[in-house]
Amino acid sequence: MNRAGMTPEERFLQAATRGLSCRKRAEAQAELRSHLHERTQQLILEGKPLPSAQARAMEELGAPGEIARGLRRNEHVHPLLSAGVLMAMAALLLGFPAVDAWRGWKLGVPDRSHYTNVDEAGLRADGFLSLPEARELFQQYGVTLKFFGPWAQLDAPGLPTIHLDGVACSSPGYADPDSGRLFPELRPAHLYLNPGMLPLCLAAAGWPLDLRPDSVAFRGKALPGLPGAAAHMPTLPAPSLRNLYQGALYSPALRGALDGSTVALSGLQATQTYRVDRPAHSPVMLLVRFPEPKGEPVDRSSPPALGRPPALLGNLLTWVATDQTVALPTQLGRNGVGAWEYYGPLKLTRNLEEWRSTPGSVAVGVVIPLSSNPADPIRLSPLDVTPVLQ
Amino acid sequence: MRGTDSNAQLLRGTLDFLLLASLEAGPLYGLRIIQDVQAKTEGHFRFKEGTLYPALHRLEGRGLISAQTRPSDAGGPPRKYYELTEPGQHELARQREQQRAHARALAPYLQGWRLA
Repeated sequence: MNRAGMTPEERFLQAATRGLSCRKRAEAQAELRSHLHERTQQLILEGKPLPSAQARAMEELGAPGEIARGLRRNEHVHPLLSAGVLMAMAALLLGFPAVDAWRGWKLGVPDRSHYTNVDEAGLRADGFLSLPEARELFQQYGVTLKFFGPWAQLDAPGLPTIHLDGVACSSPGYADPDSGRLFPELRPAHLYLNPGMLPLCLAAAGWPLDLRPDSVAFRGKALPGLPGAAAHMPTLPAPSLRNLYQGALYSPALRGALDGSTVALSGLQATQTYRVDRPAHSPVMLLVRFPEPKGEPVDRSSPPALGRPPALLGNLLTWVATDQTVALPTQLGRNGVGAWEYYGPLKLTRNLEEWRSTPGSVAVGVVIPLSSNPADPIRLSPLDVTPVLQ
Repeated sequence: MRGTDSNAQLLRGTLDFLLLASLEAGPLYGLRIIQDVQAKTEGHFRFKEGTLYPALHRLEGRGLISAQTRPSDAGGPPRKYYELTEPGQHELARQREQQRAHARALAPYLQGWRLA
């Protein structure tokens, strides 16, 4: 579409995302479009006519050029191509492939997003490792850590490369910038990684892990930082084990079958013990479908998979105890998102048909078995759970 | 950001804290975050809204928040909800303590010379 045929909003969105890569641009445009739409609706409800509501919504967002500059800074794209080429040449001399060196340069711009706001002593106290130290650690697992400036990647034979680029995995970070170092991006000893985030990166990339209630192992060796080690380092930021299953939770197969987005369950109350036919210490997941919001219009823009509007799902990872029981909530606390916030009883079912036929006004849950390897697909076979009389 | 230059300077150093704190109670999307901060601070901090999204993306890049697109419950385009990650919760706790220490340190001067 040429600019003359665009609506003012589309022109605004184009200008506010100029210079971003295709993927980032599409994502940012979708987010800003949603913002403009909703703010416009609010202003209309306040009594403004449509054209002035649209104009006001755009005005409140600010100058599109400024927004684009802010978004570009996060993409680490730097116009100094010649410097990038020099970096690539230097990297070639050091034995890195040119494409990796280019990635290194793109990430190597000393942007504030690579700074941690914590000094080196603080990072050390939290269990962070410098890049050379992390390389030694990874070698114990047969994993190679390559780095150049804040660009880093993990390789292991037969497994996909993991880019530590701040997208799925945190990129290496500098300690507090106030230390006033020159050219910190060329000093890997002053770049730090949080090994506690490692299981999340590996799981997201589909590397095989072995999850137990007290450890996460890769190739038979426990990884650092989770969760037993974290108990001794309370400040170490470690991901929750639930997050390791995100790849499976957001897989198209699961979302298509259950028809909804998922959030972590919290604020759970009134647990009941159930017997399940699963080995002790194996993981299981409670999936809850929140009741449809009362009196709220539901987005029907995407085709519902099961003849009903998209639902909000909650999930809870738990472990089978040694006596083959699990403790599950019978009540949900204040939970959900926006109009889906819900407080009330939870009905457990044992098969998907019952899940699907349960009225939308009821919170309904199923317990599904998980593999100890989060890279394995989730089987949608609800477990038969029997209440244990207490 | 709107308001006076001094207000803008103050907000610049506080923006990450405000964003992380606004997500403490649960996932929110951009517009709700802005409106939440404005409501809770009684309009003291007024974002130039477009500055919010680069800041959110930066926090997301640092692994302090995660994002998920979900259908809108208001019938519009899908919304991008942001949620605190566990590292984000730690960072929020750290920044909160930093802000408290800052406020404690300023307290004697904020009371004015008559009370000194």
